Amino acid sequence: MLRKALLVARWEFVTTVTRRAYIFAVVAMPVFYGGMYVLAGLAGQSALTRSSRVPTGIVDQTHLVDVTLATKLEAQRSRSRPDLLEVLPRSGGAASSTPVALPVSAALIPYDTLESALAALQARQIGLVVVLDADYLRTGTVTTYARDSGFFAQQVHRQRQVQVADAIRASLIGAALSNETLSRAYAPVASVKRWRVDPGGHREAVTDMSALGPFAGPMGVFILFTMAIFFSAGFLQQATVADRQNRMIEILLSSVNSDELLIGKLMGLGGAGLLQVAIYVALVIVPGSTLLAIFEVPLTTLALSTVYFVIGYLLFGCLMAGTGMIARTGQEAAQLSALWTLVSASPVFFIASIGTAPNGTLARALSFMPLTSPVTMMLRLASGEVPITDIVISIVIGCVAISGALRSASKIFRVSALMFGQRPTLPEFARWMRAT
Amino acid sequence: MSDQSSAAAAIRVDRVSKRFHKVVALDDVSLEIPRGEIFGLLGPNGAGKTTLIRLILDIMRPDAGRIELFGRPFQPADRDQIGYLPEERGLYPREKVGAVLSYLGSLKGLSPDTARAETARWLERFELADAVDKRVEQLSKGNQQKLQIAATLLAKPSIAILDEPLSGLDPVSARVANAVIREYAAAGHTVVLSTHQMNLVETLCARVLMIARGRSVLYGSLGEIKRAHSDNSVRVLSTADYRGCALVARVESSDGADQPAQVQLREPATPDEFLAWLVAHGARVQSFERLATPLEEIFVRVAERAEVPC
Repeated sequence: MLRKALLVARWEFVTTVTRRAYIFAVVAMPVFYGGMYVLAGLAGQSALTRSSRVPTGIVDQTHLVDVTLATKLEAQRSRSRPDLLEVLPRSGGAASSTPVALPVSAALIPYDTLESALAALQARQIGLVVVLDADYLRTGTVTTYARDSGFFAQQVHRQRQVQVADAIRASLIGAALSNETLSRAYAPVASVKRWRVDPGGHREAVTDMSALGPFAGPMGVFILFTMAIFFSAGFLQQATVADRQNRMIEILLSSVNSDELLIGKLMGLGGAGLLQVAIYVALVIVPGSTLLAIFEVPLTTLALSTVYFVIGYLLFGCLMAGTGMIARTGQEAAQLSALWTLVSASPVFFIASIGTAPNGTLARALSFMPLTSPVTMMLRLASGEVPITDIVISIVIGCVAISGALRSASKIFRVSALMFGQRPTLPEFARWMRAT
Repeated sequence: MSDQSSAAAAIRVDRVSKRFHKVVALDDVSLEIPRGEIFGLLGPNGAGKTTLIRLILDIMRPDAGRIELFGRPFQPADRDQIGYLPEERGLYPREKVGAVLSYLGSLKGLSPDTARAETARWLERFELADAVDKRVEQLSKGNQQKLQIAATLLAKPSIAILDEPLSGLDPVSARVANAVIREYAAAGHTVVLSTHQMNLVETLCARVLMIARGRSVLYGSLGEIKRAHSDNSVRVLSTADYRGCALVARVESSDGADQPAQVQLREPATPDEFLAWLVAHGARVQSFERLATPLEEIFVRVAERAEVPC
């Protein structure tokens, strides 16, 4: 049985991965979206850098703000937060491998009058004017003047206001405090050292990279396997619809039985889907260091996620293949299978709830429903520790569901040979299923 | 294979019935096809021929009765021994001709090398050797039809079931396909030919089964069936006056005196007795021909009779 299933698998894999549409989807789309992502990132960073370099004007009618002191303290804060430092290009324009320590925040420029500050604003020499009115100490009110409005401009303006607020606070208490205390008053949490305590009570220093690992790795596995399930099942449905449209089903069923045909298709097209995801991963989705984070995924999480991927793909694939056999066209198949797709992907809508409470009622309920179980369990494994009983129950439920789905899909393959060119009503279909 | 099994019929269908809800697709149908025979499976559309084929192929199971291949019930390995060309057929249109044939050959149990060699041989046989690297959709409909026949016979299955094998073929290609089917049977393989082309059946088949409304209405050797459905007529050109003959029931005269007349004989008189009567009465006989009812005429009569409710 396996020999013929492998022959079908090989054929389906080779004919799928050599198809132009597949090659386009695998190579051109990530390159396009990756290119757009890089361009958008560069453009956004450039805009942010430009806007943050434009100084903030301050009109201090209370004569309260010590701009020199605030600039010094801001430089100290920036040095203690290397992640906030910019990498500035060298004179040649290429990115420097050695970061140049400059504060990301803009400089403060004092102006004597509002008119002169507004003139500088109009001349684009400053990005915002902050006025401390004469009664500021009593009211705490500041007035701001800006050229740009809109969501993103407001964000930059708020950062500038925070910087001015820090400067005011430091100036207010500067005379009464030592340098060190003043630095802490200006930047109470300049940097954070993190430790992780495991269930055994052992402590482990957490770096920014390793802090990303425990979450990003399993979450990356979840995303990749979820994508692979849907890509592969999509291929499977396309292939079954094509077999029906090409009138190949009866010819194939005279050489292989419906189980061999279905299992072969599941293997071959599952491989094509996994290959597509693997190429996406290699090209765009998990470049460089994030890929390393995936390698930090605990072996048990990776193994269990693989198990749930296989369960999810087999179950969803059988449903998609069966639906593809009932439909007359690819479009009709997509419409008919929308129910499976929506239900199977529904745990993604609850990603926040499941991620926050991986052992909560919602997460557990979705884990025990065959269609939602694989995605939910992968998400739970990515979000925390999952009780072994839940793992065992969900795997058993998945295996039982696969057995039923395989049997049904296999029968649908046989029935489909009887109904070329027509789509029966549900009662007709049920009668044929009973008769075959 | 043992002597006993090699002597057994290639296909034996024993009192098989199949029903789809209220529709009786097959009702108590039996047949036996020995090895190496070309057997005709006839019947109007919807008569149950395709259902019978699917039961033989184990795509479906009968509700009652028994089907044996090579003297025993169907076994999974038998799929490699049956080539099937269904009526609703196609090939992977975007794949290369050679790859498709090799794939279908390998599904029938051929090794990759043998599948490639047989592919080349069959493409050569159908004069399509230069199409091996073309996509199937680049070939004409007739050439695709030839590919489908090649795909069915590629692995040299012991039984080939061909449903309308010549539909869509031009006369030249049909002649080639006809020859291929003859050669295939001559090599000891069994061929089941399901078709509405009665001339093809008369040319190729030794025996036939006709199904109508799910029931067997004709079964046996073609000669016997034709004799049984003959209307006992002769076409004769002679100097005799047939009206005076007690053996003659009716005479349909021809237009001219030098044209033959069609003479229907009374039962149980035979054409031999009538010829003897002509000679005995000193008639000069220029031509004498037994008239057999064409199979197509028999088909229509039997099918119409089957349509009349009992």
